[in-house]
Amino acid sequence: MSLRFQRLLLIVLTFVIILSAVLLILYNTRENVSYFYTPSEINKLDIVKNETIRIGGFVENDSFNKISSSSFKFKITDEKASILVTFNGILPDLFREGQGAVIEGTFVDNDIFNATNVFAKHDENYMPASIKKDLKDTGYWNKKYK
Amino acid sequence: MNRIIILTPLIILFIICIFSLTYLLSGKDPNKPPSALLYKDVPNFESSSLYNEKEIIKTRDIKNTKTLINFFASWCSPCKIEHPLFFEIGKKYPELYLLGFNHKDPTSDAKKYLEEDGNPYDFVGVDSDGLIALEFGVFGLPETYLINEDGKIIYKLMGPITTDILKNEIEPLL
Amino acid sequence: MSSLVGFSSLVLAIGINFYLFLSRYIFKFQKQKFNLFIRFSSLLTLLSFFSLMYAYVVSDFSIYNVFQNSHSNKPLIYKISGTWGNHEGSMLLWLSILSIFSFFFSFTKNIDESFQRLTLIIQSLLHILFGLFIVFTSNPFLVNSILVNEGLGLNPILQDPGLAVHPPILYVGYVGYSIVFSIAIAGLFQNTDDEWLYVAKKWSLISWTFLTGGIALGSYWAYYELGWGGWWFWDPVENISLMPWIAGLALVHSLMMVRGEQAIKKWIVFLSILCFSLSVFGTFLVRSGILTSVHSFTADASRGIFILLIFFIVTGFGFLVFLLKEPKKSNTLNLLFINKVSAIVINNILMIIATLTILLGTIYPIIIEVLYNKRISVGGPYFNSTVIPIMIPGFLLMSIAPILSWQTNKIQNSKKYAIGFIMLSILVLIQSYFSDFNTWGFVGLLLGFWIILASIIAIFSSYKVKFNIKFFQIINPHIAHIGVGIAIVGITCSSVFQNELDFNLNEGDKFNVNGKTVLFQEIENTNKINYQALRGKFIFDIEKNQSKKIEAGKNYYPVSKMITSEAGILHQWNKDIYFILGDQKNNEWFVKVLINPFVSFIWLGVAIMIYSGFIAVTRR
Repeated sequence: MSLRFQRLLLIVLTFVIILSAVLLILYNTRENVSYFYTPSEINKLDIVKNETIRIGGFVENDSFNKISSSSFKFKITDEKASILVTFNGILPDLFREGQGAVIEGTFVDNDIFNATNVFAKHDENYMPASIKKDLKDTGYWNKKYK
Repeated sequence: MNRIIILTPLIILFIICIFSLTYLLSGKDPNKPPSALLYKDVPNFESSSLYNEKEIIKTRDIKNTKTLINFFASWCSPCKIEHPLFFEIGKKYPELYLLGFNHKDPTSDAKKYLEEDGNPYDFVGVDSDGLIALEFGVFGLPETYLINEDGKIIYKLMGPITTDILKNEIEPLL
Repeated sequence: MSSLVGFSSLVLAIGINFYLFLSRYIFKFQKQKFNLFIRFSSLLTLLSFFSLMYAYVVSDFSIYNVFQNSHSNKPLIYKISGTWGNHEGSMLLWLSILSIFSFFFSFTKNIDESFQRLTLIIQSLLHILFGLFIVFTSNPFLVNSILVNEGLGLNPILQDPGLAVHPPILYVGYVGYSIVFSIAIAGLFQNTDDEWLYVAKKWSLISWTFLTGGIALGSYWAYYELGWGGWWFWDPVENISLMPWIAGLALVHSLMMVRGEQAIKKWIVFLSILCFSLSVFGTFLVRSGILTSVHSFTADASRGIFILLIFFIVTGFGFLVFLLKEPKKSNTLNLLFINKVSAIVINNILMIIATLTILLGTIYPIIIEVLYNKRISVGGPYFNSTVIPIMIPGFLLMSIAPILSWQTNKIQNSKKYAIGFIMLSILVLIQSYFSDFNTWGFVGLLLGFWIILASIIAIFSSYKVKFNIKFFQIINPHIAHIGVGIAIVGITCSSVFQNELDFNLNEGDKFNVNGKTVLFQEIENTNKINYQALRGKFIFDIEKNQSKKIEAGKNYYPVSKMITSEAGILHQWNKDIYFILGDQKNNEWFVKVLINPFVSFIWLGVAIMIYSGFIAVTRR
């Protein structure tokens, strides 16, 4: 093989690699990306069944229902609209009513969302009031400050 | 040709920075879902004064004045941090009606708290069972709402007020 | 008191660096004095950091930062790690590491004096930028406006040994690239000889090794503490640490070419700038809270804008110098179809494409939201199906790359490799035929074993085996690649062949895991010092004498009203059995059992990579 031919081969190889990488990226940004909505946005949109999406909001108070030890039903809300969610599996540690959560899954019905993943959100800076109450109850919090 | 190749990282840098900056300035924060009550009528409530059970405040009492509603409690530590700012607000905007709701607190604790720290509120309502907070959709303490003259909620803040928030977010609305 | 000491030494250190920067143009002094000043400012920055740490240790709640993030009941180690467990403290740690690198660099010998000084001045500039960022937007020494005697920080999730050591090591890796960046820029300005390439190689190896350790500790922590059974989630925080890691790998490899006198200076400079830019960009993304992730720290727009500005200045400055002071035309490459140079070039191209792919996936949501006002999330599936295929040809190449020659197309002992490859393919094919065939599993296993096998063949057929330090230095590239091969085997097995079993159990039930009988003995509730522990007790392989006890459950921390999961893991050399205790209804408990084969190989492979990283530093 002449030096020139070898070099040409290398350049062609490089272009093939780059081209296939670009094609991979283009394909995957269309296929493997899930959209994120709030419950009220969903009511306005026509969501395709079986399309994987994410929904973010709060777990509605008094909506949590334990069907069995591994299947749960709850509502996710942004105060304007709420969506009924079913989930099988283990809920994250931080999951509870009134807390922020993001769920991932698909609509099985027009109004029932089947979650495959549940992520609970926890904000470090804005602690739930109950923590402060406990702080005070256990006497950690000094009342006589000035 | 060579120059153009060397320029690409700079161009990519510009693009990334412009997008990030637009994003940052748009003030979108996926952590904070928009409040449903914003630009809606203030919920109906009725509450008695902390100091005098016969003195009642109702939703219609705060119509026709701008009102700042603050949910607080003696056991809430961020409330202590924002507390001094309400004196400042009261001094700067005397016509603004400062309404405090004492949330799930024994009356004696609440009174003691306001004695030690001072009472910046024009009226302190009792919300011992947390029903008013439920109406407002309070998730945790402290929370602050600004109501305009038409009785519409025009601002909601979760967490304590800071000087920055006061200057940049609340004062322009006053 | 400590806040005063800390803040004033922080400001003084910035002042000294400012003075040093000006000294280049206004007041000049000798080298000796210059280096003394650099070291002095480093010590001051460290003093500032340690005074914050002191405040944490003695629980000085008059400092707002300590009040927010610490608690007097915390164990001492978590008080110490609390220093960098928050935004302000971690930025101070970042700055301290930056100045430690300047400190050590000032001791470098055999290096052109004016070159060293120029490098340190660029370091000073970086110090000033980040120092001002801390002083103006994230000052950890702010004094609390109210008097308190107890702090608020008892977050149990942050109380974990893995999380205590993970950030500092990761930061050493990130910030280490600052010195590589400074060396490269100084090299552009001086443009005299190529001596700086050797210096850059040493420092980039150090940073890369620490970065590897930091990333590995992070995923180790995720695996054992988060209790989700996985160790890599393509979380934005993980992605941004992976980007400088891959770019740094490309940098280390192209610096190898210095020895073959084939160095493309331009490319090396580009990579050096890129590595540090990606590190700063990572900091920007995490600290601005622009990306929501499980690790997300804080969301403050002004901080975000400030650090975006720093990112813009640093990267823009780097690439601008690169544009204006382009290195002289370097010697033409001796590119043959398959020699060492072409192997390294292809490897570099692949790594940069992989880095860009991850970068694109990480910032794609931002772009979409700005353009279309739609929120999307790019998760694991995207990265798995783009990054891995891109890396595969690189993995194939690395099996033989170290023994390729610089000058010719010949591969020594090529027959041995061919035979080895064919035998191995047949073996792996048979193995996958008898287990469930899976394309990804087949490819991954073949690649991993092939890398290991080819490296072993290379070691024994190309070098005389001796057991002294020099021998280990010579075969070091092969050792590193064996580490990668082992890690690939571990990654493939634990992700492709992971097995998930779900059970609904009452106390006393027996169930079957992997052909062994497991007894769900009981649920126990105990009170510990600062939490309540709920534990499901399992006995694995109850029929044999060597049965093992496993406990999985949850901890409830009443002070912070938090629950953390504690997975029960049974380690065996060839698999981890991972028990997660779920919820209960009517005393029936949900138990999830994950069987992760060969997870230990991942940690072993990474340990080998870290080892060879350190060995490589010792070799000139």
